[in-house]
Amino acid sequence: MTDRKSRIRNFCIVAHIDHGKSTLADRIMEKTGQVSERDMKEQLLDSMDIERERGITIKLTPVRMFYKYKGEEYTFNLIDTPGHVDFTYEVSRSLAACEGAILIVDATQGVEAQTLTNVYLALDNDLEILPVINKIDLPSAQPDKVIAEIEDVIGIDAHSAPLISAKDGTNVEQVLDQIVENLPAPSGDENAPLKALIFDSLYDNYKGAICNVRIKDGTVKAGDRIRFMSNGKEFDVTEVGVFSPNMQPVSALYAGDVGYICASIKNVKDTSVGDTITNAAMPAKEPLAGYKKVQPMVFAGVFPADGSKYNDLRDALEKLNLNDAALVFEPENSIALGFGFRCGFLGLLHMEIIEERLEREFDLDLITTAPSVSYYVTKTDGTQLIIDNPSKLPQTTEIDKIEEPIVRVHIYTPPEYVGAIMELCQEKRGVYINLVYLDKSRVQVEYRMPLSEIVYDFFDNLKSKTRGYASLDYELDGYNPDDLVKLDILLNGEVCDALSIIVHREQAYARGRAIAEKLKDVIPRQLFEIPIQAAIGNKVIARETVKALRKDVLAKCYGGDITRKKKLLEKQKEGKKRMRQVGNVQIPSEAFMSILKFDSKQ
Amino acid sequence: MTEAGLYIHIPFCKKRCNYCDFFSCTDRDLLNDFVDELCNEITLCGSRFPALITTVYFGGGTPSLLSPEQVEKIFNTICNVYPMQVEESTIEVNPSSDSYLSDYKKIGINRVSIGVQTLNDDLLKSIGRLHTAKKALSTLDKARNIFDNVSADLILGLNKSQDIVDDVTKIQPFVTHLSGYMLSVPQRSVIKKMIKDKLFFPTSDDETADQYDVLTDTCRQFGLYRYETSNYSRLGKEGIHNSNYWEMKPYIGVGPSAHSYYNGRRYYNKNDLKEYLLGHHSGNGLEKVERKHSTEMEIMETIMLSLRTVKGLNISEFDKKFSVDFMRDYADKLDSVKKYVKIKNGRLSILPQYFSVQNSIIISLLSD
Repeated sequence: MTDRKSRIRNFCIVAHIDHGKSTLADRIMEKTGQVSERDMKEQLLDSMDIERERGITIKLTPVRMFYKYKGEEYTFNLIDTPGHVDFTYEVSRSLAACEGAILIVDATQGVEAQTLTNVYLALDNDLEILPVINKIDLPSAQPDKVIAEIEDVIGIDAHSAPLISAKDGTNVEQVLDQIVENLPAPSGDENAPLKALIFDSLYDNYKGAICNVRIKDGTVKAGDRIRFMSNGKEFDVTEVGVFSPNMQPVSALYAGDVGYICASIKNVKDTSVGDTITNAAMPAKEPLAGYKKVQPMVFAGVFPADGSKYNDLRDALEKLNLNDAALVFEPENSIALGFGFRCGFLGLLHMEIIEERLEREFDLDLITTAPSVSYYVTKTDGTQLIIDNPSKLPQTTEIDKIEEPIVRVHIYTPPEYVGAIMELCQEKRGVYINLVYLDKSRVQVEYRMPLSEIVYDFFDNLKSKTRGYASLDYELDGYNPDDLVKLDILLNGEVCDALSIIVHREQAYARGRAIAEKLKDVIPRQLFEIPIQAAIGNKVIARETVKALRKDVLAKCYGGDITRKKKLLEKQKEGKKRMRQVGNVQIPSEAFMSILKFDSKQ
Repeated sequence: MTEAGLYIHIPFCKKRCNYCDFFSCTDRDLLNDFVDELCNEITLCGSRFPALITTVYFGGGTPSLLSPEQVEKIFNTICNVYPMQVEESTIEVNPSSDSYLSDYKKIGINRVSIGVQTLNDDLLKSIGRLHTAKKALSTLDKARNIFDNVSADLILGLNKSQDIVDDVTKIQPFVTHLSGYMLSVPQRSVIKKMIKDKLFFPTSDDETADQYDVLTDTCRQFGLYRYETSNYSRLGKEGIHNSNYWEMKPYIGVGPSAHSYYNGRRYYNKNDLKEYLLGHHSGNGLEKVERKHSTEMEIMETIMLSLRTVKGLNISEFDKKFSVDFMRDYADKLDSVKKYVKIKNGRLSILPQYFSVQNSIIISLLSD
């Protein structure tokens, strides 16, 4: 039996975004004969449309392969992982199911922000790291320099790292051989009580909730009665199997294996990721070390553009939630936007992806409010609140202290942009921590900065100031009190709750002015003059005016042709349907988005 | 018997105006063939759409290109197939073709509508009109001496320099009626390109609205009262034919692209002279019919059209026609526009100062 485990390798691939993770995964599957070249769809593991289009990986997709090495057949279980900072949590889940990690570094770009984040995560999980230098086919590739950088910056030996081109397949066999040679086989005892770590779960209309598991100890097969150790719930296993890459039933899963378990589980919430599954008849004493429950970092109100679609939106969010436990939502009622949901996301990309999936997969038209973070508010009477919706912030007079989440930001950049980056970070209330020259061409800049600044427009600014050369990573680093205020927007004298934001007092004037100006452009003229005011409490800090409409009348009816008139009126009527009403002011949905972005240098 | 107006579309012009995307033909050789087919359509319509004809209106295009003989032929055809009790029979006249006014009068025309547009010669030229201000005034003078009912058309919004007060002052002695339209810029018109090429500078919406206010005020000073969004008249001289449109009364349209409203059905001829000459028209049952008329649609039309008029919507008629209680059923909507409308003598109307923004008000009344 030790023989069986000694020929298993469980590993993942970690990399900075775009360094070629999914391409290498595809090439490995091809070389192991898992899929024929002919059947190869680009980027096999990224099955969602959004994943393929954006070239990002969101979900964890495991796949089992076979590889012949010196006459022996080895089983490879590859678990694909997301590269983006928003999904760090997902990465750590997949790492816990592996013994090794392939670290891909782009030979033209070197070590980037997420390269490090992911390597550190892998090291935290005691994974063996196998460095690989990719994209050596490109003329600008500098493999020697990148190897030196890996050794200097990360501190792991990279001199024997395979130099590959995942795109054309060069030296991919070396990677396969090194997986066998350098990555450890799984340990664990097939005869011990079952301990299976759930690293992902998803919902299937026919099979119910499916748990993707790594068997640490014991065995599991159809007919077994299993128990979830966190909640004690028991189910009868209907099917166990592996991913090849589609689900393929097998007779049993043993210690060291990666596969799935189906047990007619109706509620995917029973299968929480990080939980341990054991055998009900012969239970394990202790569960495996799980993961922390993921905390959303970014919050926004999501409303149906057509108010009558509230139930559709709820159903859609529930469906997405089945396979994306990181998404949280609760009903929200806005005066301006009606019924919708306050959603919590892992980060901005996660938010964008959820919005896009809601619009695409569920054909919903959405209005989203400006993203916010979650504040700790201490009231004068000593009570503490967590506020993730600016309109819920208590009156200034009732507030003793507001604390905001702070992140530690690491930016990797060519040296020529250091000045611009530091200027940007200062402007965004950043506190300088450190600056390290990794080599002549790369600098790591470190700041502590309020998360709200990152959520606002930091990415776009950073990208434009560094012409896309800088990469960014951040992790939560506590909460800090600051002079934060709620900035309200009043339309014709009435507060529009969906437009309220929490900002630093010193930035309130610039933000208020910018929002008022933007709204003036997007709010159409109406029958009466509309004052737009930005205010902190009762103090108005900026004002614009939308003048009253003067001309809104149809031209003459030529020869009794009223059909044209009707069409125009119907069009206007349809347009009005898509507007939201605050007091008696009509607001187009773009107005709510328009405050998200503004260039401070305007 | 159903009373109806008869609209006759004459799609011929000497030259097409730059702001026009209306169907017209400059090949006048076809005019005789056209009149023949028009008479054919009228004859066939006589049995398909029987009615007592109360108004006749020759519109265009440039109906004043028709010779007296052609007008007479059309008139005779109408008399042969339709019972007539004509109160008003109008022909549109272009100042550049005004030779036959007294002949028209003899045939039975009792009202002319003259396309003055503006008395600014530079603007007349740039919008592609063939006449001058001087010529327009002489046509008006001639018309006044022949007809009791003379109307003039003005176009607003051509340019900031338009002197509306001066135009109305010069025109008003000759007319009993005046129409003021706001320039619209059709997608495929010459004017659209001229604007793009910075050769023509129409007014902004706000400036057009200002001109409209000036027009309404000036007309009133001269005893021309607004009775509909674009129409002004001396007391008792309102256009009867056009009023049929706003009052949802039946009308029969003949000629290419002419629209009709008969028996609660809206239909129209295709906008194609060649096909028309081959008999593709309502006379042969080849009209286009608007998708089935729903009550909801009829309500929309009634509100939209009646609120164009100063008299406004007759509430008790509306209640009867649609079996509703307007004041109760529309209470919320009425409340949302209460600043902009008045209800007096059983009629709902838009306040005079809000006529230029009536769509917003109408939409508030129509929205669900």
